[in-house]
Amino acid sequence: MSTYNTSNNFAKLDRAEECVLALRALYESFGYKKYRMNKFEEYSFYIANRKFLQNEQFISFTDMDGRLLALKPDITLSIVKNSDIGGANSRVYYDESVYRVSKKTGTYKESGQLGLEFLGRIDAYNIYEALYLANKSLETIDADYCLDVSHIGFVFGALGGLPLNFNDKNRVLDCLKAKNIPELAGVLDSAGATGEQKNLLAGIIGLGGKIGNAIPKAKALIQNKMMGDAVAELETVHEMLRPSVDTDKIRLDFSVLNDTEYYNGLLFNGYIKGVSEIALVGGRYDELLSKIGKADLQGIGFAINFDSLERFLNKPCPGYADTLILYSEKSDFNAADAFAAVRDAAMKEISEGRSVVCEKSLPKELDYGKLVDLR
Amino acid sequence: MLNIALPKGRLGDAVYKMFVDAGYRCKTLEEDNRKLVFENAEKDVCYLLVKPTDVAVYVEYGAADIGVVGKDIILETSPDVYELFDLDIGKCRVAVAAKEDFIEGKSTVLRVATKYPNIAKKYYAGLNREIEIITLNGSIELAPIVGLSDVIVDIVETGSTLRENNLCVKEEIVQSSARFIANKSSYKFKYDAISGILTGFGRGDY
Repeated sequence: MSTYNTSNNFAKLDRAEECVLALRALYESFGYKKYRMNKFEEYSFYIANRKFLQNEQFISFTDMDGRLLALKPDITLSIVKNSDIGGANSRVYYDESVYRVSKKTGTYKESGQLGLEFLGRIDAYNIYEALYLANKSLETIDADYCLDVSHIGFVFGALGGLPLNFNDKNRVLDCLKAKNIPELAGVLDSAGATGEQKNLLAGIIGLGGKIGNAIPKAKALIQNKMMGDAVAELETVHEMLRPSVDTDKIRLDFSVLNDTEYYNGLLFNGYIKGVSEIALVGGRYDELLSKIGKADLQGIGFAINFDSLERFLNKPCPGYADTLILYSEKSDFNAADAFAAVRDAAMKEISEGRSVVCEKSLPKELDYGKLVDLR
Repeated sequence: MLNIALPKGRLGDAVYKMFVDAGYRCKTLEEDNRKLVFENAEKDVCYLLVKPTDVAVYVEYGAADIGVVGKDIILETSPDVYELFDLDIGKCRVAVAAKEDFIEGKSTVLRVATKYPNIAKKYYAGLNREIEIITLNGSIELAPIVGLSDVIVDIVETGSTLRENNLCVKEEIVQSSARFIANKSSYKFKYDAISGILTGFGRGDY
């Protein structure tokens, strides 16, 4: 735990807060500017774009002027909507709350998100930068991490030749997300896929591991230009990342398919050992920009879900004071002198830059450096 | 250490035998006692005995790295896990059952008693049928007999319980069997251990 000095006061940062500050510094070092946004947005905006949201339910209310507003269920959507970058590239990061229905509890929940967005015309460097920062973000949280990378073009290229209707396609995507080979075979059988097509998709599910080892295996599965272009992009990004990050921690995994309406191209999910949920979600979302009328822009970004990380980062521990002052239990409101002594002892500690806790008996959950016993 | 959530009961016994055959025996689990945690330090695995409906919860939250759970539970709870393969045991079907002489009146809301409210809702939504769900936790077959519901949605293995209560299957919703599931994060960080078990089960394709 570190101490953050603000003139004569102290702020003890917990691990999650330390991480947030370190990540903000990381993003600022790459030219990302903090984006501060209103907590509310027009309800109609989310209704119009509800298919991009993880859950279509959000908290709405009527403002004093009669406008129907909603608490933000998503940050990227707001950044994209409100960005008017006039031909230039835009780099922003945010540290905000979103309000969504938790799938686990079925109730609304406020969740802390830290993330960044790059908007503009995307080239190989921009993709490298996003993946580099995603890697460094995970590394900042914990050294034991991995980043799973996928490419929608590769998967959609493989699905292109299949006789799938809308429902079948969604079922196939669900099977890919769950690595569910047996069910995939059933869906493909009922759709009339050939043995070769079934083997291709089973091969995509089975394909994985360190990106350097997995790319040649992905190359062997290429059936068309779309799949070839996707592998070429992954290969370029891998080569660019190799000198600057531990690419053994980057794994190719085509079960990373997040939201195929929202994202296109490269997708990635980050995991921290010991955290059961996905810690970081990101990818390229030109489709979203196009669908909200900003087809001239391309976007890539990621978000870190601090809800899933806080339990991991902030282990329960006793409080801490540099000085514990114990005073008599017998002191009451008639014992002004006794209280004055407690006050003076406390103020002395504070004035000398030490934190202090005053109690009548030893607190159960407090570690302290020095004991001043006035009893 | 790899934590394995095993369902208590008949299915768990069959699943444990498969783990034994794959080389992951744990002798203390075979003793007659009431413990819930059994460790085989040599094989670096730890079995957790949990209620069958809770296996997916343990795995999704990462308390267990892998587990075995019925497809019916997966469909009901939609856990965010990898569903790696079908063990082809514990086979049954989720079905709509009712009294043998039941005639469905389409002009009224159908009362459905079930411990699978999500499966039932999804099934009847697909038929555009308005229903009222009555969620029960056991003895589902009793509901139509005493007039609590018109039909039930429940798992059917042999159908003997239905027959003994003068009920019969009206519609089959989905087939179910035991599935091998893994926590997504554990799959990344304990891949070698999980892969070892998959190979022991004869599934080297992951």
